Amino acid sequence: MEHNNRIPMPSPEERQAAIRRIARQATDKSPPLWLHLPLSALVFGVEDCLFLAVLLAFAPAALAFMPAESYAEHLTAVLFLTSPLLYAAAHGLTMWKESLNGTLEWKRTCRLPLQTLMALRMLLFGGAAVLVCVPVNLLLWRASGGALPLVRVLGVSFSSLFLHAALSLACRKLWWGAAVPAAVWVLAGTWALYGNSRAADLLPQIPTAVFFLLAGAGLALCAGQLRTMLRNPNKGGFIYYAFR
Amino acid sequence: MLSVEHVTKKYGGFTALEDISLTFTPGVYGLLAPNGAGKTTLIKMLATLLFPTSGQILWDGEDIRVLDGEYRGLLGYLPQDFGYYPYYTPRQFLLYAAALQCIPRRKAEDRIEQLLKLVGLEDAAGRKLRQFSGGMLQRVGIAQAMLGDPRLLILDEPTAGLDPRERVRFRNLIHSLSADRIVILSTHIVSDIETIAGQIVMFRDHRLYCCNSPAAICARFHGKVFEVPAGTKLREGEFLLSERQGEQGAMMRLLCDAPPPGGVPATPGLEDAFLAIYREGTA
Repeated sequence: MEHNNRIPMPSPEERQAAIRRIARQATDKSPPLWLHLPLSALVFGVEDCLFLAVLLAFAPAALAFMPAESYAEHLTAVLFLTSPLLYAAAHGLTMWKESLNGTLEWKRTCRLPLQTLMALRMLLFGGAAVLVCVPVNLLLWRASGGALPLVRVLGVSFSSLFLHAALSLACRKLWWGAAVPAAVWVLAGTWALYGNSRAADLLPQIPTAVFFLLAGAGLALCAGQLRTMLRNPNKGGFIYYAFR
Repeated sequence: MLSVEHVTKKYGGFTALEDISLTFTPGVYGLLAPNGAGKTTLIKMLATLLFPTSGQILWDGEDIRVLDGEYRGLLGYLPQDFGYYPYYTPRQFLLYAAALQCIPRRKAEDRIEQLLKLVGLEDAAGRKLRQFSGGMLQRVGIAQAMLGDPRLLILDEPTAGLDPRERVRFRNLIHSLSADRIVILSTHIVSDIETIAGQIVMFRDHRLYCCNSPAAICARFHGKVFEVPAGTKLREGEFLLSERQGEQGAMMRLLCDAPPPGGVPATPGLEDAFLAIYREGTA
């Protein structure tokens, strides 16, 4: 009896309030809050980061002005290394800027979860990356005189982009740090470009279908993770850590 | 009503706050303690930036973790270091903050006009934030926290770095905002809250020391504060609180149980109580 006395029991008013809230949640058919968020809010204050990221993403196009022989041999490795540039730079720069300017603290207390804002930004950056990748790939493919089939160029590019995005989201969930995916890509790309001949031999042997399969898997992983972040922002990422 | 029930917060082996229980009803609460006492930890827990290691925080009887977005919707928070985007005007910045608070644009525009007027920035609404002084930025911060007309307003060291004139202005502003809402103000500057806080919350040794009105806290030291001329040698059991300029020159304010020779009884203020409570060796 003495033990039971120590358990704080809700008052009748508190119990009724809890029941009302549960009932309200169960019957709530209103659209999610993020649907009303204007697009401009996604890039507010970080337009410079996005601009820099787009500039960076177009940098590989400079290869088109060089003799095709100088890069055609390594085109697969170049595409693998540079395709996630926009996504990685936009994500990294915005996170860096917002952690420096101190806006994250009050944003975390806003009604729209920060996790949701991040997920929407990732969708935007991913879409922008695809839009930039396609013309850059086309330019490189033409400039290289069709050193690789166009389908293969797109396959390598998209697989690299979506796998990088999936790894970024996984690292975010596991709290491995935002620099891990970038480091993995730089190491893998550098190895493919400057490593021993095994890497250079290996990449051309991988069938194009495998790249598309990897791209599909990466995209599915991203979509699943982003869906979780949007539907249940308390799982994974910034808020979740506080519950542990 | 906001209730903190047996809340403990640990960072690894370090206990920042231990077994804190408090109840907040509409009014101004001042969290007053020296730096490192756990004020910001409690503020961050109330703002959902941290969660207790044990215990719970309830809003109208429901756990704030469960209420989640609903709780954040009724919360206004101004952090110690208010982050902003320097190349935007306050109006643009507040519209962005309103979007994150899920306030419809038209409603937000009206609210922003009201708030800019309230915080005295209507004339500066078209200027970029990088041109603002520290006090003006804090007022933008207050407007940001007030966007959703919150029922709970949490301000973490809002007057740090402000000049005396801005501090007075800020105090008046807080006072005008405190009707029908809970305002929790953390500070280590006694004068910030002495006149506006209805209740003062103090921590000592990472535990709750008291939650009482300023008058009740000062009353504990009634008959124990005396003024003596500066330079008077302190005796055993006498503790120097502060020095000030009086009509007879520099005076020392002492805390002691018995009147010192030549000592004039003084009415204890909140600053005396603060210094007495956190005097060396006891904080």
